[in-house]
Amino acid sequence: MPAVAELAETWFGAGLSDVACRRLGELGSIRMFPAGTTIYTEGQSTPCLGVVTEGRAQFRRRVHGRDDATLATIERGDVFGWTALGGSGRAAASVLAVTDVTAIVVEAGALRELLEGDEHLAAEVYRRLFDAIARSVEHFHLQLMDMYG
Amino acid sequence: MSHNGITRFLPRAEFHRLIEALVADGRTVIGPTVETEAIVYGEIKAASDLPEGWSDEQAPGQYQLVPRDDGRLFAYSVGPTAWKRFTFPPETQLIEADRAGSELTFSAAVDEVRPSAFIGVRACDLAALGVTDRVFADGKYTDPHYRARRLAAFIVAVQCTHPAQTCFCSTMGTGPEVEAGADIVLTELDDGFVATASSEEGASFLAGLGLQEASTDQGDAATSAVARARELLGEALPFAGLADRIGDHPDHPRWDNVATRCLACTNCTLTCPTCFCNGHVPTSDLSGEHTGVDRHWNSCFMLGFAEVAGGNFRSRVRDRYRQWLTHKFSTWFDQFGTTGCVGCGRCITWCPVGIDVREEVAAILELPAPAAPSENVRATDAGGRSLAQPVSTDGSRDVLPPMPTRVLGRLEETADTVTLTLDATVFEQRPQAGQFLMVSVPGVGSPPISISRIGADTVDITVRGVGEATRALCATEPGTQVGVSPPLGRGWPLDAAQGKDVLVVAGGIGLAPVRPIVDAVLADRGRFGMVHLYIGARTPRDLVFAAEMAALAQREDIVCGRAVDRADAIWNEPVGVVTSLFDRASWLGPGTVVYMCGPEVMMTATLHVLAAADVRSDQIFLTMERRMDCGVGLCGHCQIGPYFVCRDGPVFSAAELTGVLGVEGL
Repeated sequence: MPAVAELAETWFGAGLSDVACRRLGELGSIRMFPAGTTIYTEGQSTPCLGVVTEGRAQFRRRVHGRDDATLATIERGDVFGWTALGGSGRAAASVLAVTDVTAIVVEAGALRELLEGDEHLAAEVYRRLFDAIARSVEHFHLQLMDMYG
Repeated sequence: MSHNGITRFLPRAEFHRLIEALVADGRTVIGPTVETEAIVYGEIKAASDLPEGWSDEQAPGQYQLVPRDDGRLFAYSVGPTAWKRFTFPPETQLIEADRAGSELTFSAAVDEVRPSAFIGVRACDLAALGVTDRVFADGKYTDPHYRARRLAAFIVAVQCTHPAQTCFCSTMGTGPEVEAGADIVLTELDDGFVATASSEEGASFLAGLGLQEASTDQGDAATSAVARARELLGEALPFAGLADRIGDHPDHPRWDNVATRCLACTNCTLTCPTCFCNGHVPTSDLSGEHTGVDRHWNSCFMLGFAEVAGGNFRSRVRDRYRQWLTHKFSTWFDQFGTTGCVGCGRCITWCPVGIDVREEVAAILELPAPAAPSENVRATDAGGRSLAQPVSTDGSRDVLPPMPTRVLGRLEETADTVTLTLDATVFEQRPQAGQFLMVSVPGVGSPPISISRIGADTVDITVRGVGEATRALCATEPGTQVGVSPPLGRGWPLDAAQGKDVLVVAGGIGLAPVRPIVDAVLADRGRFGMVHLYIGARTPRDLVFAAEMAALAQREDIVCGRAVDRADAIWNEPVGVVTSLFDRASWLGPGTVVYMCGPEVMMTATLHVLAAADVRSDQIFLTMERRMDCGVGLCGHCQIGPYFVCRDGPVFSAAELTGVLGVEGL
């Protein structure tokens, strides 16, 4: 299972138990996004959670009357598409591949089903996701303060 | 107190003889006189110029002359004038510069100082002279103008027998008794003065007056008069340990409270006998060929005092009041080994809204009942010597005029940033990585600029044109001359990284000061472990040394990363704050030594990341920015907590800046 091995070697996967990493990896597949690809578009649905294994992508938001603002860059081990697991299910920001990006993507419905069936696994995965999302949000805050504060 | 045992009596009717003798000695006599309804210090040509028959009444925000009928000459407390007016005049020309074509010459402005005599110096003011001696004449760099005026002054102290309600010299340990620093000490009695000599020169002078020896009764009366003054001052305030305690309350609500009353009018600093903050003002004739630099009194209460390009470190009145008060009572000890307040009370009397610094201190410390006077801070305890000791004459170096040096090269880094290569053969000593130069553009200004590269016989400076002087520097063409100071300040401690991993973090133009440390590490690469260089900038267009950094990124012995706040269409490197480049790095840890320069907010955020990775604060070094006018610790502008950035830095360890860095308004 190449996705399992790839996931285990990322920052995100390294923080999961072997079991959690395997079960998550088994559910995922490896996808490639050439540079310039818009992986998600702000406001549109996010059917999959992704973990970058190679390359670099940007979170971008539209700012009325200005160019899009880049909120953060994500690299190996960072996640995107977390709104697939909750909230509106729509992307809060666009995700744009600025280099060729390889990512493990997990279909949201299947992932929710997996986690709802195993509380221990859910606790572990959600905790790890929370770490990743918190870091991104922290970067968003710093970036916005730097740009507009 | 007496010198060579001489204690004489000078009848009041003969006081004119003292003045005449001083004048005959070629001295300009300066003493108290009535002017504009106050007793101020001015030139005294005859005894009749003294405030005979006048006293004063003082209270917070109040001053009034009061007539008296006993003919005493010194029956009042200190007025609004401080003696610093005559040792450190409100305006002094420091430097003259002449330009002929592309050639520059700089010279120290000539300050013709005549011998002088200060008559009527009180104990508090004598202590104040000792304080300013330490500032201007006792450090690594000294002010020749101050020293000349100080050494030229013959001091005739007069014991205080009429302290005002606003006086607190006994709390600060500076009075009312004169202890040291005068040439002659007088104590006024009903019919004259008991005079004692306190120096060889004073003894010689007194002997020349041919006065009779004071009687035992006269001596006792003099002692009683001063003792009575101490009684009038009342119990000393409970300021024990003040220096350590006052700095522990940076967020006390009293700072906001006092800010609602303080007008930031600067009266307190102008009348204060120890406030020495000043600013350098460029001057020029119409042709621009003859220029100079004047020094003017300034005040930490002025809005622009802590202003730098892009911001103001103390824009709020609360911050400026806190700076002034904590400097006086606390950080002055760190900088000069003594208190900066001598308890003369001028700041209380002459505050137009009557702010009483004693009350402010008490409120901030939430003082308990008064302690015994012996527990109070004594200014003379600090440093183990008297405040009022004579000014030093050796062991330090006068501030010299800039040296002309030629611009050998110019490279445009970005739209507003230029690197100039300067001839460094003018320097006596090889610059160190992390040091800075005061770079003079005559008639425009002398900004501090970090050295961005140290060559065999050259130095590079990288200048961002954000103000008049820096824009003028950016426009300087090769072949012309600018003025430079010697390399100043404390540089990067390279040896601290011996055998360790090195992380260099830079934000924007902050890459310039750290580039020499990168050069030094790469020049001796085997001495160090892993080397990482991380750079942040606003936009890709703001990245300095771009080609050089791209070349570095190709090397295998250094890891480079860059992040920008705003990417352009072709930027495919990280976007975000610079810490995002290494906040999850597994190699960060106690074995890492960090060198850092950038905006303060960036450095503060970086310190949080480093602390989370267990990097030791004494192994993190950063270079600070504050406004610098003089570059040698004599103007007060660049103070941050206990430090002057120019004198004590600009490179500090994070451990040294604990409680300082990131504190708003400090």
